[in-house]
Amino acid sequence: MKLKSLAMAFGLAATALSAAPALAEYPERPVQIVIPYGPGGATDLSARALATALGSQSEQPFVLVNRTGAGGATGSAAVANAEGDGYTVLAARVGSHTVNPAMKANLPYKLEDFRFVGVYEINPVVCAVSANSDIETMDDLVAMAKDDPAAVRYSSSGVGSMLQIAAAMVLDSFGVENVREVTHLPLAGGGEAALAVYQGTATFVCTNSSALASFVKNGQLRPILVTTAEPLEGFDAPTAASLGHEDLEALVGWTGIAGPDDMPDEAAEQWRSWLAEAVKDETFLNFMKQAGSKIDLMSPEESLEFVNNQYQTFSRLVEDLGLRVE
Amino acid sequence: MLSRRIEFVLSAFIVVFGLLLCFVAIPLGVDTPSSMRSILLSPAFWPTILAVGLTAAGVLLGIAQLRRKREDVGDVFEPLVGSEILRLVGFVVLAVIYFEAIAFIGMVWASVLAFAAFVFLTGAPNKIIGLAAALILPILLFAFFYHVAGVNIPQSDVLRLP
Amino acid sequence: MTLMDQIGMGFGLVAQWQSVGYLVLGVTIGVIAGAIPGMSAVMAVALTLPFTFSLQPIFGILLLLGVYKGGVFGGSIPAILIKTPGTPASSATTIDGYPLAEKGQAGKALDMALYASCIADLVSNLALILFAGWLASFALQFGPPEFFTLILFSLTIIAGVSGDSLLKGCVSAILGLLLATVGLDLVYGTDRFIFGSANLMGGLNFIAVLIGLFAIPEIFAYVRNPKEIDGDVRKLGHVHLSFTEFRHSLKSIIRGSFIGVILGAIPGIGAAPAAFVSYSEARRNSPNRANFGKGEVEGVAAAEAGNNGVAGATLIPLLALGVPGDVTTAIIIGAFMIHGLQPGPMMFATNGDIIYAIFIGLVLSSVILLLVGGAAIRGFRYIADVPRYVLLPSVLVLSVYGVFAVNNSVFDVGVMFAIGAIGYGMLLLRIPAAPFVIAFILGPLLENNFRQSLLMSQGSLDIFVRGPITWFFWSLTLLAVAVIIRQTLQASRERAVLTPLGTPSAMSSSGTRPAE
Repeated sequence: MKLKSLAMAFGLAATALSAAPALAEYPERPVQIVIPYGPGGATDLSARALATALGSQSEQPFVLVNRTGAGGATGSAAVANAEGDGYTVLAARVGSHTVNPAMKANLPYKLEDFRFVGVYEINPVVCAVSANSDIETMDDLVAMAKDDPAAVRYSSSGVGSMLQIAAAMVLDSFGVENVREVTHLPLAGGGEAALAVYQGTATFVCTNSSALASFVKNGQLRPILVTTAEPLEGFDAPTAASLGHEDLEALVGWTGIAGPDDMPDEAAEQWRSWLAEAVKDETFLNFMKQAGSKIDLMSPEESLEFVNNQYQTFSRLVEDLGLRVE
Repeated sequence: MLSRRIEFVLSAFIVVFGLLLCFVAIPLGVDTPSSMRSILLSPAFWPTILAVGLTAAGVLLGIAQLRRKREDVGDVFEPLVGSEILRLVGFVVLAVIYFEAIAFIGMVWASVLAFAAFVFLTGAPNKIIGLAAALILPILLFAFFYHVAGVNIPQSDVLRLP
Repeated sequence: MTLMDQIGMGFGLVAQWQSVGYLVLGVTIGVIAGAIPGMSAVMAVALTLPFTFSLQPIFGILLLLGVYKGGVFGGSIPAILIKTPGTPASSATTIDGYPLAEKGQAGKALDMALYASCIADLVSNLALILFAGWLASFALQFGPPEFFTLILFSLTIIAGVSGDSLLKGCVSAILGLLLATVGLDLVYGTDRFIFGSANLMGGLNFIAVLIGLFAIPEIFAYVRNPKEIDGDVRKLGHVHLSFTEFRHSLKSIIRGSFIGVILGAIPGIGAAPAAFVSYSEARRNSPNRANFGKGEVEGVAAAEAGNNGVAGATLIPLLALGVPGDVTTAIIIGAFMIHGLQPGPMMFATNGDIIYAIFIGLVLSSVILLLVGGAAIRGFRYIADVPRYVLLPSVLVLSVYGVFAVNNSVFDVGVMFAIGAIGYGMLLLRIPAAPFVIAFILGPLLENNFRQSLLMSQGSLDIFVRGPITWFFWSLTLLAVAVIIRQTLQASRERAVLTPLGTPSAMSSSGTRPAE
């Protein structure tokens, strides 16, 4: 132990004196986790809870950095362009890494610019309408959308957000033909999007269960669909599979850790073992459960495959529906 | 209000800027999708209104000057003298170097140097106090932002602070 | 459980010494964070949240509420002392607060900011306790069309902060509105004035623009003419607010509190517009109208009352409906949920004791703010005594750290310098900065709500007159514009009469800017 700290002090001194980094054990200085969304959002809380669970495992602290802007693109681009030394990683999210790349041609980064070390959190997606509305089931909503598409409005947290693609995908799967004709109402954030449905500004919203939980518990919004295979506790709504739409199971939110594509193997390996330990942490598990998320750590290979699959699904959908941002 | 001449130049500048926005910056800088439901929803609609408004305000400002009485001198604009210009240019250079230096020597040491340069640029009466503040303040701020607020203040490998 | 039982139990919860301790701790953290440029109340609350997980629910919630309240007041300290608003909400405070500090009356301005904040805070808390249900259902009537008309009306306050020339105020406001359009388009997601820069995609950082516009031009002015403020003037820094001055401003404080309460209850507006609306109303109704913007203590009172009036009211949608009204309350909702509490109408039945404990704690927090804030300004007041050759470079370095801290972006520091250069140009050309800031805050709200309304109505303009709220704001807007036109014509007629003596503006503006 003493030897190790001595070696570390030595390593620190070496880096301080010469610009050439000594090949000491990763990490020899604090690791920065970039959160591409603002403080208090789902990604932010998830990453902060994770960092707390990671804290006990590394002698070096984890520094959380919010870089907000452009639906997660600003922060993601910052990590994609960061030095591949393993000291800058990203809390990647469904919006920034599958929806945005599928929808936006002019994005300053690509999926290949990242090395995924693990997706650790899955959030179910729920569609909900106002409790005062006549819409009781998906069929009611679909009938309405077929009848007069422009009169049906779905709210989202902006162009290229998961909320937008979720609503479009659900309508498409249920056989609405002119999905583009249905009015997309982009708002300032996910909270506003749910509130707009309660106020009657929008007809329905499809978003993470955590964003809707409090509205549903207070009887303000009525859930009409959940996309997970299993019914979701607290949400009295049929699953997509039970209505014969298994394809919608691909529609889930997630959070994972990714570094720049040239992240060294040593750092990636270290992260894998850190994450494996963190998902056993009681406080972390409890917090994520309260937020309505499922903790499910995927290996780097599984993560990459999962993210790529979702990206492909979304790309096809965007292509079919003509949702691509010019 | 400043002298008529300055106000005139200002209004002309505003008009030119407004027209530049209308005919150059908006067509080049604002991407409009090929199909839109309504012209009112176009991304360029609002910037165009603003550019037109700016041009109009510039024209009105010019007209107001024409109607102004000659004796109405208004506010006096003290012209910049040589040493003042020199210092202002010096500060702009200082700011540019400060900004660029953050990437190379980190925010703490860039701030120390910028503070010290500022002390000499403005000829502080007591250089010792000025230089002491230049060394202490950036380090104190680093300690607060990094260790208390958890902000990752950029550092380089040069004299890394814990 | 009867109501009295619940109130009694709530009292029991707050009466523990830890409750008061956490409130004091929270307010202290908040005041300090708010006083540091770049650290906002939102950031301070987000940073404190993880520490509350292990606390008892009521302690955690009181701690966060304390941080929030303290943060809103704390922003006024640097706004007054170094013309660097610590939070966007305190930018209205700089308009009169900094000129007062330059005249050596920083102590007076700080006292007034504190008293106005505490009174507004108390009014806001009482409104929350007494009218939460009613205000919340009113606030929910606000959809995009109602918002649009409200923001349009708010833009008329630009006339009140334009100084001598309304036209120059308009130019300044349009520049602010234009700068706010940089970034990705809301409806189509296309680029606007980005020119291929990934850094510009998210738009210009608000704090960077704010500090660039207020603090950096002061540094330029000092560089141009590095002169200390007269020693005798500086000694006045410890002058306190007199009771007469306080009494004269009381009406503005109360008015500002109510403006804050109403705007705060509506989700999505925030404290900055409330401060500006309150300021402009105070100016409109004050006999000292001409002195506003040149160091009028009533202006500080109105601005601070407006932004602190919001603090309690943003909890109205949270507690009455379970709906977060802004980002801060969205974080606080997290503190409720981690303990299995569900804010909303049902919480009065299920956890009434906690609700009443929060109410009692909130009222207590206004008093604690008075004590902690008083101690803070006694400490910070000495900043006014720091010689300018140390103070101004310190402001420069502090601005760089603060702007970086907001979004961890060195690019934002560049934005701050660039806007600072523009701001100094505006200062030289006598183009007022305040309209720019108001427009920069309100611009995106105006445009977004305009387009969202049209999306809702499928392109029909009828939606903008869809209900009594829209009619109300349309008539207010028309009234305000009529008054502005009448006053402008009157002023130009007066100037025509007094032509050779058109000097009062010259005197006062050179009087407030000794650095030039």
